[in-house]
Amino acid sequence: MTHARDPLRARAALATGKAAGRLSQALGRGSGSMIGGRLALRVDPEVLRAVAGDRRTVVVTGTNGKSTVTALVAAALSPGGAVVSNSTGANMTDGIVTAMAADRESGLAAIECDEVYLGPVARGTRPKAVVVLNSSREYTRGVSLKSTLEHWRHTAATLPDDCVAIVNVDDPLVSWAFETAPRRIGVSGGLYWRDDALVCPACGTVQDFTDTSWSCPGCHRSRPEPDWTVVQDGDGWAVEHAGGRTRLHVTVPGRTGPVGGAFALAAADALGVDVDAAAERISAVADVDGRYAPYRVGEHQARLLMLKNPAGWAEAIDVAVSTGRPLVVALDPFGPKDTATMWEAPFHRLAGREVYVTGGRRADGLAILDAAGVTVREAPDLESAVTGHAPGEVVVACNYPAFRRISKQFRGSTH
Amino acid sequence: MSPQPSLTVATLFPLATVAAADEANAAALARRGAARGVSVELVTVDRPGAFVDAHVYLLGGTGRGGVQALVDSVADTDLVVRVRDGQAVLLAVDAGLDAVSHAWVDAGGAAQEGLGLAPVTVHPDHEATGTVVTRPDASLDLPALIGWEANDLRTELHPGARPLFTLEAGRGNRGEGAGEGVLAGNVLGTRLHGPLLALNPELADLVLARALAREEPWPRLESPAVERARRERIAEVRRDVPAAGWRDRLPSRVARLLPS
Repeated sequence: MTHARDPLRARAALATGKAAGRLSQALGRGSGSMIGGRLALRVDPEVLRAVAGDRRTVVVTGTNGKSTVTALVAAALSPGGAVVSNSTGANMTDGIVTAMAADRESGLAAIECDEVYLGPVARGTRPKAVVVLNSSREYTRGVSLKSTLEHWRHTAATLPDDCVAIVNVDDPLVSWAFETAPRRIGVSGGLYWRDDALVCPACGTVQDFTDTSWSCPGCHRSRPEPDWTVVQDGDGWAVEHAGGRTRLHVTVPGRTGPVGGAFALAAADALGVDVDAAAERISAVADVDGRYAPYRVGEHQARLLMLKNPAGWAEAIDVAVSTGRPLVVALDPFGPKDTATMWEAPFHRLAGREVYVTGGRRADGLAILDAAGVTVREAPDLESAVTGHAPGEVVVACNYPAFRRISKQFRGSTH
Repeated sequence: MSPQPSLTVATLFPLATVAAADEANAAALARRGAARGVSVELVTVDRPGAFVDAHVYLLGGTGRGGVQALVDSVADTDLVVRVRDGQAVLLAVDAGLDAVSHAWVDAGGAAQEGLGLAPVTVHPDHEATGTVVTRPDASLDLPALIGWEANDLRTELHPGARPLFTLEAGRGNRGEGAGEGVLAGNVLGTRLHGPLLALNPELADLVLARALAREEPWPRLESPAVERARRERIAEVRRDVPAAGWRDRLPSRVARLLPS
């Protein structure tokens, strides 16, 4: 975990962190994935720079889909050599220090980074690419969208000259925040949730949206031309780039899969990894932390999604609408505002359809979907919710604790 | 036959503060209005130049960071005049209540001047968060409601002002009695953020009635799904908040050592 070439202070920091991580595990206080990094940072704030070393790093940030896209990036980079990744989802500076300290050998890194930590993480890891997925409100954190965007814009301006920002050009907020990046590549896969980007972040004018583009009548900013575009290809998906077309097979349902795949291919390309080889590795990603893999329930297959904000729920609703698959909503309690985010999600798109709601917080789900004009049915448990629908594949949209409970339950039984 | 009454509801500057689904409040007014034969048009105002003459204004969201932005934006509009002249109702939530107060507290703890529309002065206090349950209020035709608070403030009411709610559970204004928020003329101010009107349709009724200058109470209108969700939350709060005894006043580290 420590290297002879590390500065003395970093070595002391890492030794402290390692001991604390072990202690935390031994005491049964968690996986030890944060405490070690946290203490190491306290001993030496520059420790991330030491553990990142000179490896080639891709940092993935944004509000929605970070874990999924980080897993796809890790797969896409793998033809270029061994990849370290903070796959436990510990995505603040301390978790990243812990992950990188545990693997000092891999020459490549795919790092998921919390939005508000992008500055210190970029300074510490000096990435070759920063992938920026979207920017949307969350309810659990006390940070306004505006201040996150300003943090991004400042960070983008200070990225190293050899770092390329791989940005979602369909999101006007991301596009504005990364205008200041030294190098920029655009990815287009659509934007499900526009309500946070109704006004131009630069001048405050209400933006003009079409189905595929946006522009600001005030300051005349518009959607930059993408370098990588997700397109429908027969009954599947492909990514168009530089006149070529690469087929993408991704297990992740709906458009989330191919869009994440496009970001991963762009990142692989930016680091000089062969795009076809990267696409092949992406198609082998079957599962991200228990998400997406189908689980068998009698004659049904359940596909789990985990949602945390209106943009996430909008995406899940889009999966149900675009694939025509039936939907189960599973909600468990995790505090006063556990279902607040759902009040703003576009459930009216499911109006007239039958949706089963289950979990310890199902009363809230019944109220929210009922208000949106959905035909809601209450189910006492997941099995009856899933089997309430006709046999086949069912999308199970979960909040965080319901996802934890259900994926654990599934993993304990049949897969 | 009298024509169907119609109202315009404007959500003001939603991106300036930390959201907690406050915009669901506008949708709740539209839904409850439709059920009551009132047609409600929803508008979002994101900058002072787009300000519209509405009958109901929703201002706020949680988070200290956005208050000055709200003060600056609102100062460039006719909001204060319209509400003071009785042409519109204002629901000012948390950061929104700070913005229209006489004085509020910035992130550094310093007092700042507000727009003076709500008769309250805000002072720093310690952090308190949690689920709030209000007591039924026959004078406003309200049952027990549910809401959320998360702030480090004491909200002092000026003489003659009444709180919007009286609390069964929660900290509220932290002044005399168990008051929460303020009700003054056409200003309904509260710290309870999030989809407050969605969770409590009767409060949406109160806002609609005020905007329509309706005197007589609305006929009873049931919404079983949302009432059940609220009943479950209230039961949970009552279960989780045991009567405070001497034990609860000890630091948790000390209390843990005592035999139960």
